[in-house]
Amino acid sequence: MEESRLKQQVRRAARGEEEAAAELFDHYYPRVYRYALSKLGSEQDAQDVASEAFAKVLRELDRFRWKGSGFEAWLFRIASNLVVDFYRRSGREQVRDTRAEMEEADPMTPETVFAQTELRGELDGMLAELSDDQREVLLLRFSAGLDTHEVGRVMGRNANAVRQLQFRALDALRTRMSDVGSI
Amino acid sequence: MSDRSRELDKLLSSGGDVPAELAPTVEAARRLEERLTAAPVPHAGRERAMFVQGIAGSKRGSSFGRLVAPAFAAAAFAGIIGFLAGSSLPGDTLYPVRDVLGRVGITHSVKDDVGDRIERATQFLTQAGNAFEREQLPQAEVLAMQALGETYVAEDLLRELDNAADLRDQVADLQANASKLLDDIVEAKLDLAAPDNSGPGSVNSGSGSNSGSGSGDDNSGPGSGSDDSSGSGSGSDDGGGSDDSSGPGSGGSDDSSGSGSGSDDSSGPGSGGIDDSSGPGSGGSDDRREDAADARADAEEEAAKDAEDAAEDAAKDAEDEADGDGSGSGSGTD
Repeated sequence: MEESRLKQQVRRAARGEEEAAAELFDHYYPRVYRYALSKLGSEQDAQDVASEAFAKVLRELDRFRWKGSGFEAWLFRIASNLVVDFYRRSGREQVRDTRAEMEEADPMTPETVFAQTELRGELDGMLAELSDDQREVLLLRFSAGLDTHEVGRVMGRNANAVRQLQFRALDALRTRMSDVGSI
Repeated sequence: MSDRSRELDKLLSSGGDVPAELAPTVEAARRLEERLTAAPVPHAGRERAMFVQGIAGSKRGSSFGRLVAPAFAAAAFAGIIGFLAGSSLPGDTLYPVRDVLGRVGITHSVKDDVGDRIERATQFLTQAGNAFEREQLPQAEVLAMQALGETYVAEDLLRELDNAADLRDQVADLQANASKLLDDIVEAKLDLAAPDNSGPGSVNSGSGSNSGSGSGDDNSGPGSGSDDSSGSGSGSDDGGGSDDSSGPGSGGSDDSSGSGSGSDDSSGPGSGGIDDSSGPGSGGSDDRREDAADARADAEEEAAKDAEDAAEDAAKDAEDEADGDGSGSGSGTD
């Protein structure tokens, strides 16, 4: 959705227009769901997070203002926070990865827990080996479909830093794929 | 690396010819995207319906609120300003607002306000008079001051009005009455401040009733035996002194006589000094009488003037007496 169109639809939705609200939901629900799925690894959990994200949008759309960051960044920041909350509630942060404990004494982030507990196939394993920031960039970029500027707004970084994280992450994936002969 | 990261990002966003060195990286990105978007998105009809209906339902209410809330805020602001302006006086910042509101009848006009002030001043003055009659002097004084204050405010307001001679007269009358009552109150307080057992020449005599006759009357003051300062001649000065204040103005020379006592209530010409303490026989209450006399002198300049005249007469008489027999004071015209 183009930015001008997006702004128009958000304003219309804020005024209570059902059509605009429906268009926003149809456009963004799949992306929020996929982002949550890529982080949580559970379809049911991803649905819960996506539903809760839109419920929160419904409650707070009045207060949303186009100040620097756009609607997409706002929406996916909500989704990202809900994922973190989900991990906290579920107590999965208590799970430890033995290799991570050997490598670093820092407590694991939800993303790291996901990486170690939700290994799904070869590519998932490769993602799990990336740093938290690198993995977050790739998930926001390729599952949520945000551009580097929007990713930067969600993560609180500038676009250049996001590009470099993206480059390193993809280069690491390429190396791993070469190692296993998939590329 | 910055250039390569920028170039890679551009290729991923917009496509285009991929350089050989970036081709494996772009391929890795393509496979990752395929993996992440491969999962089917479940039908979310219920969530969609809730979201859409929620948007439609909640926003109508808030739109109404958006229209009404500013109107309420503006009305409340105008009400506050009007309320504050309603009690403003000429010269206040909000007075012009009050003037305008008064003209259109939203708040009291200046004339109405003057009328209110006059009414309040009248009430205060009546209450002050009643309190004065009951000898509740502090209360009477406060009420009289309030009445006077109302008249001052009314006077200020009247400057804004033309053709209000009747109101001006009323205010002037009230002011005069309040001032006079205050004078009376002050005088009465001074009388009370000077104790009854004062020596001769006490100020509370008024009519000179406390004449100093009887020796048995320890309150009597003048000439009484018990009064250590037997001071001369005050006594009932109703005879001579033009002033109610007895005080023997006989001057210092008199006290040598220590007399004038008893029956010789000789106030006479020697009396009447405002500053009765100056005279002999002021006794143990000299200090208090001094205070009272001082206050009184401040308050009543005319009386002081009279007293000075009387004192001069007294001095003259005393000299005459001294020339005669040199006896006590008090010419005793009584």
